[in-house]
Amino acid sequence: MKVLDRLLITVGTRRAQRVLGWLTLLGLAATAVFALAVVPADAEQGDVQRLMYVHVPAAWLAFLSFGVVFLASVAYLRTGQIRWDRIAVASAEIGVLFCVLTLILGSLWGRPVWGTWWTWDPRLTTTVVLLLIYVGYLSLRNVADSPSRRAHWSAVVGVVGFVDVPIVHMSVVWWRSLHQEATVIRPGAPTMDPSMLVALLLGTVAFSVAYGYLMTVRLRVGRLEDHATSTVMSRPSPRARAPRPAPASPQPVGGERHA
Amino acid sequence: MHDVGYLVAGYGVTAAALVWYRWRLARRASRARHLIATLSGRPMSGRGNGR
Repeated sequence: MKVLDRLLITVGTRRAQRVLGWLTLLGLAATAVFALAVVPADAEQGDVQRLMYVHVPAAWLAFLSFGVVFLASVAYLRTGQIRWDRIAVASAEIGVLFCVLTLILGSLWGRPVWGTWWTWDPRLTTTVVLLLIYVGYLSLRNVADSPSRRAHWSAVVGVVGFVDVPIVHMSVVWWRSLHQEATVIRPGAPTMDPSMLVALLLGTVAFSVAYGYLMTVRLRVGRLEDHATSTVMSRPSPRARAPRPAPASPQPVGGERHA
Repeated sequence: MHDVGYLVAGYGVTAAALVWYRWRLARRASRARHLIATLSGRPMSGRGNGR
């Protein structure tokens, strides 16, 4: 726990964020150059296969983000510390962004290769379900009326929702699918040309650094927004600040009239 | 030639998504800082981290 605290403090500094930002830019630029200019085109699919170098890392990042939501949610339910909720919601937001990106990139790849923008294939369907679960997670946070209840409900969804991640990964094995099977994370050696594998790994590392950078920025924004909310809550309401009417002057004893 | 169009769209969407999210975070931070400064009556402390 102390190691995590130290890590969060270190990467939360402006200097560390700047370094992470530059590393992200460099990594993504290197991935683009490597994927578009260095690696040869696929023998069957041609140039469009180069979308793999952003589609697969985006999917990996969505899984990573939802994995962090799961771990932070478990930690919140165990400890009740609100910082775990902050980490979970930051990661969920980034995960949703990359899950949407995965679906868009997959659609762009599927159109020329499969001949369709979309099909209700098991991999695609389970990925949409995954996206809906975490969109629901973020929407749920607007419903709860107290911070602790919001964190508790979110943590439960964060734990239960993660069940879909292994289902998405295994969907191409369990069901007949149009989507290709895993080529890297699979039993045995990766079934891919070494230069393609290097480009894919470079993309995965670059996207992971981007995740680290976006997380540090998102956590800082979360702290600022919490501070702003607590500042608003600590201010007396306009009604409380309005001058109270003077109490009515006491009636003289015996001055009451009875009908 | 069509393949290149899909490729440009894919890499373009990826770059746009990252830039859009970073811009949105910057806007949220700026709004929160502005709100804190207005309510507390103190001038905005540059790009403070709000801790």
